[in-house]
Amino acid sequence: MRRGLLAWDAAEVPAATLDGRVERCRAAMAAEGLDALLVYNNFPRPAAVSWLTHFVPYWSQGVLLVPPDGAPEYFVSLSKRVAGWIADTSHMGEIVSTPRLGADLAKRLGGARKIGVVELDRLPGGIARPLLEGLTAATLVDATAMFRTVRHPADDAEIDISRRAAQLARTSLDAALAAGPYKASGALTAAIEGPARLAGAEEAIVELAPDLDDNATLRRIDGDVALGARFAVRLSLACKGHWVRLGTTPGAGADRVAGWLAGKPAFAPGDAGNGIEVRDVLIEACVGSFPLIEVEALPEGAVGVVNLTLTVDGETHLASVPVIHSNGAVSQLA
Amino acid sequence: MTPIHQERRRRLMAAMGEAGCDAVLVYGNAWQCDYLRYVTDFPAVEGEAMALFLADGETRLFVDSAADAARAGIDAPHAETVRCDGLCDTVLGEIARLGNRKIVSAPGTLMPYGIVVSDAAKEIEDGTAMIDRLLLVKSPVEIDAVRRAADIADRGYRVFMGACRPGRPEYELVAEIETFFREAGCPENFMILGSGGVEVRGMHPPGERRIQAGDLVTTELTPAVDGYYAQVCRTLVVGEPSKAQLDAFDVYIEAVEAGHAILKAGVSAGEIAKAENDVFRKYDLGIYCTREYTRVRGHGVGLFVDNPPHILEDVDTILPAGATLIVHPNTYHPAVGYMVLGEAAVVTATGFETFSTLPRKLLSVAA
Repeated sequence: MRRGLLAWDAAEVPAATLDGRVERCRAAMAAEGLDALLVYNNFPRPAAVSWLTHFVPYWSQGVLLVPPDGAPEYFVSLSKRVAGWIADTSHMGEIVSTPRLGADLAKRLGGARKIGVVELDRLPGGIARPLLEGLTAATLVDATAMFRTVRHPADDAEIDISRRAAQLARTSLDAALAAGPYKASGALTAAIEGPARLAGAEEAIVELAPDLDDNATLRRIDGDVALGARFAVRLSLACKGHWVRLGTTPGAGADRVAGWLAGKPAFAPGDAGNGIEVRDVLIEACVGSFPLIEVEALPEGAVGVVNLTLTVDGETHLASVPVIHSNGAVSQLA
Repeated sequence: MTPIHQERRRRLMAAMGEAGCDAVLVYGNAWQCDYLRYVTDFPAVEGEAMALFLADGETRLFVDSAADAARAGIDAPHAETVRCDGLCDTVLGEIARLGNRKIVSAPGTLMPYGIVVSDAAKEIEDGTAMIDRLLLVKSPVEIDAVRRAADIADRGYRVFMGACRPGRPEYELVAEIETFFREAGCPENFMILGSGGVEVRGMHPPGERRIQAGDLVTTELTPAVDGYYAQVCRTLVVGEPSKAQLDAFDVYIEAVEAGHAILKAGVSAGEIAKAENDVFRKYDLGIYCTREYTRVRGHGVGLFVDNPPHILEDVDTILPAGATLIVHPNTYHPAVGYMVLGEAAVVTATGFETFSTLPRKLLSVAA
């Protein structure tokens, strides 16, 4: 569950920036002939609504209604007592607290004929069924691709916050590893996550491959497990709705990997020289409601993450770096 | 496969046999993963996942990403993991391959549009109630997990008391708790808090407000062990509690005791809520038991932070032995502000057993 610092600083993300993002949506909506756009959010899928309004939920679910004009309206199943907190941490119009999200949205959309839904396929049935029952004259269409077209390029606010998140991740990870060694996962995880949260991270998730000689899969550890002679660690960190990941494999070969990354590599599989071979490249970006999701290629102007499986002198190394795609080149964000 | 999951599978297969059911389709995400975890033991951390569990125990887990597929190989090695480009389409394809069999799905509220509007959905029955019954009654190994989570929650609350000092922003308090939980090997926690005085009407995620002398500070900590959550709610004062604060808190203590006094197998959730609320009514505070001021008077805990049944007067669910829940009359008090009190307990045939060792009183820390 989200439990880091959730706050809106209008100097950091000006209302005009958020309004501009909504306008980008509206232009696309007009081109597609949409009477309204619905954007679902919950705790694991906050990103599309937070990009439009700055709101990040800690719990429950809601749907943002973007009308053709006027401020976006937020229908949320959190209680009325929470509406003030939502208003304080976001920039949106009316907040409708209701346990009947689908039915109340249908009432509000009474005159609409064509309604776009971002990630329609994933809209929860508890919302979708009453929405469909109430919208007798309207058609729901999938607006996932449309939203992707307006989501990028990143604006200055997104780039600045992502860069800050990347720097905080770097500081937290480097300091924790420098303070080692660690015998078990709990101590290492706490040493990374604690300072990140104290510095104001909205969320921090540490994943480990605790014994690379056994398995090279990064995962959140449930319990306290011994660290092997070689392990990999990755910190996923959010600030103000924007996520980065930073991962490394400490020990022999780490300096060579860092040097290779500093040389602005092409992030392509193959021999990278100096004993380094790139085995696998997985790119993630925010293109919808998930903070980071696998994409085939990073959109121009987008910030994202490159996750690498490497070998250094034949030994597996995992690395993740926050990146930005600018002027046709993908380079490290921080 | 862990002993706790072996037991869940045994119970699930027995329930499916009773219902004449050939397969169960479940959905889960990082917010609500209880149905998925019960069936697969896979804890979704970031994405969404679905699973098909067949009557013979064969399990197919469908995930969005290659990373989740790799994680599932470790966390749910007994399941056949399928990495999907289109989650709903892949699941529908698997359902079609099953042919003419009785399939139930859960939870109905979260099952995605791509499934619920499909032709296949017309043949799928809602199995939410069947899984809810399994989630409600905990086996001894599940109760032990809740007990261990309650122990970590208590220890976490003591860390919280140490962290709660004037001048510190709310998010720093949470950072200290989370650090403690991670050191203890606890990967997940639900936590909200409130700080201030009579103006505070609820709890929320941490903000930048700094703790001040005289503040009431409320929190609910909900760490998870092996996927099972236990919750503790306490209120503290920064400095010496005032007479008004102590008098107000006596109502919450009395309300918890009233709920506990009748808590045993066979009692309904509504009766527990009424017992709590009657205490508030006795002091002309009944309005603060309404939805305007409070959400629930307690709730189940287990593989989700907020499992059914909700402790509300209109909920007639009968509590069985083995149900784990929290009785918490958390609400606003007009004299002093929002106050909370409660801890996880397991229902027994003759009463209940609570796991917390924290004192059930208005606590205080140095100003």
